[in-house]
Amino acid sequence: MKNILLTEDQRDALQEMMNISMGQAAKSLAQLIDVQIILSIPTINEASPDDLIEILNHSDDTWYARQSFLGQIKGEVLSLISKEGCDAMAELMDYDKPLCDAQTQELILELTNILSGACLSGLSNQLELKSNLNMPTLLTPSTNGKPNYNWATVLLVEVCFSIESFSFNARVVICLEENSIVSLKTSLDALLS
Amino acid sequence: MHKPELLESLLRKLPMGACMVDIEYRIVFLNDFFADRMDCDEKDVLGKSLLELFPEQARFLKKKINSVFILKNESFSYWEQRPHIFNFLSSRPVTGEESLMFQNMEVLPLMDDSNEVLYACITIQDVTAQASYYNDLSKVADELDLEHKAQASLISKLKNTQSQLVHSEKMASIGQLAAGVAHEINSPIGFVYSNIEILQDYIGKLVKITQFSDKLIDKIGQEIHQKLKKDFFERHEFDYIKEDVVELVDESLDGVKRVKVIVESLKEFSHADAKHWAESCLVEGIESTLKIVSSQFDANVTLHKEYEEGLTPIFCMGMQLNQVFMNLLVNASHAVGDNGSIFIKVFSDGDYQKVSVRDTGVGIDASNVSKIFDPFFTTKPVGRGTGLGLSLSYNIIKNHSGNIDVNSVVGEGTEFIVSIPVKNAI
Repeated sequence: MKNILLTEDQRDALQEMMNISMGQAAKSLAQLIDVQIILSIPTINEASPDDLIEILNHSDDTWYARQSFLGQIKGEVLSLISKEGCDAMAELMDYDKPLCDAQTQELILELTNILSGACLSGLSNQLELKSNLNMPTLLTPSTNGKPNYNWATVLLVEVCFSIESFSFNARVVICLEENSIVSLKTSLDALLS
Repeated sequence: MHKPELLESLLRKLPMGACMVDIEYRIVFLNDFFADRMDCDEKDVLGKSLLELFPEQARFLKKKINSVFILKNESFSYWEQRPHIFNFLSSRPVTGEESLMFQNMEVLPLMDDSNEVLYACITIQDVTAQASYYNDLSKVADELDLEHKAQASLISKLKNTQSQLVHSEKMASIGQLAAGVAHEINSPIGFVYSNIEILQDYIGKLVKITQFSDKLIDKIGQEIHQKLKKDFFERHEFDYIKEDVVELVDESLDGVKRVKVIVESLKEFSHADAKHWAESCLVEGIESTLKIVSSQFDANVTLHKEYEEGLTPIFCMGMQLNQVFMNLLVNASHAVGDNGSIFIKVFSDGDYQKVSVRDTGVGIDASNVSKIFDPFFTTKPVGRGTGLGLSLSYNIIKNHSGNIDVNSVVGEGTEFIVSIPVKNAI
């Protein structure tokens, strides 16, 4: 059994680093879409399959998307984007309104890519662990009941985005698979020593 | 192995499009795949603005490229949302049905050592085969779905028809049973009736004969005879009997008469063939139906009848119309409960003869009015209504090319108007 639980020091260090790098990400985002973005302080948690199911428990007022990443750390980024405020967001991002289905999907995927990219590069730059995002896809609710995950624990690094001038929020969760947690811990230890 | 020429040659030969642009969107590199699909030589387009070369997608490409330069992250586009970013021809010009290439795009940042983005590299993946396959599949799925829905609606239609059929079969066999019973009772009740009539006559005569003998004895008999007679008459309560016997016979005759009427209206109501088209009078139909159902009306319910005079018989299926009238009257009696009025009106209106059944009952909720002719729709308690009466009535009226309309106000009452065309084609 690998020791995949973070020590308190490791956790604090990771949170601090994420906080710094997310600040930079927010600046770039503001430059791109010309709006003030509010970021939550990143939270770091271990999650069981049940916790993840809870996160992905589909609600009608949210879009769900996922994007995998490969490299020295591997995993998936989940983004939960509020339906409310999407229209205003579309306007900011220079989409023609009213949005048709394909355009809405494109907007969600674009937002997912931008937000996941910001969060993931925040993580990988600070720790000097390279990883690349793949194409984002929409996550539709599973019709086969409870999914059967073949892992026991993932590390969730979660950041919430919201916008000052109108009601919109997005929740971005980086899920690191077990082997990557070990790499992450090694990098954290190197930084801490 | 790490010779730059080799790497460049690999990049040129990659089975996907690659195009590098600088921050001003000028093309700085184009691989063979890209140049080939653009149908140009690399050297002709180098230094030109990608946005000017593809003006239709300029806005989109600009957004994507900007985001890569600013965020230093990859940006993607998927064929499902944006199938043809570049107007490249299909990679299957001979066997494919599509004319344009389906593309997935990924824009990558190319960074220098100081972590600044120098170029954006646009890579294009040809996914025409997958996209066409996927599109075909979803087309088939849509067709299947449509067929499935059509079948489902057909099945529910079939079920409705079947249950209506069962119900009308049931009604028909009840009708036949009634006709059979009526026929069987008809002859015995006939002779009982005529016997009682004769008996009535005989009894009158017998009473007269006795009275005559009574007087005769009084007149010519001796005192002993008179005393004997008086004693005998008293012992047998002659005075009482001679009055009661007449009453009894009259009552019996009256009762048998009523039985005769019921039997006759039963016979009338259930003409042997339910689908029999014949000249028939609506008023007669109403009357014979009333004889059957009026027993269901509460004593406090008043019945108002208004029949237009001189209505001609119309060509119809009388027995089936009676079933409609029965449904309407039974519903009306349920609606008024133990107190209220039911108005029946028969009148002509242009090419139609109309029957209106109006009650002062509870009325029908506006949200239910559209559903009352649906099979199995009922607001009556379990066991009281099948939910088929009005649906069956509706079909019967439609078979007569007629109409059945309803006006209802909650709390005030309901009126059903049946319109049957006078000249009915079979």
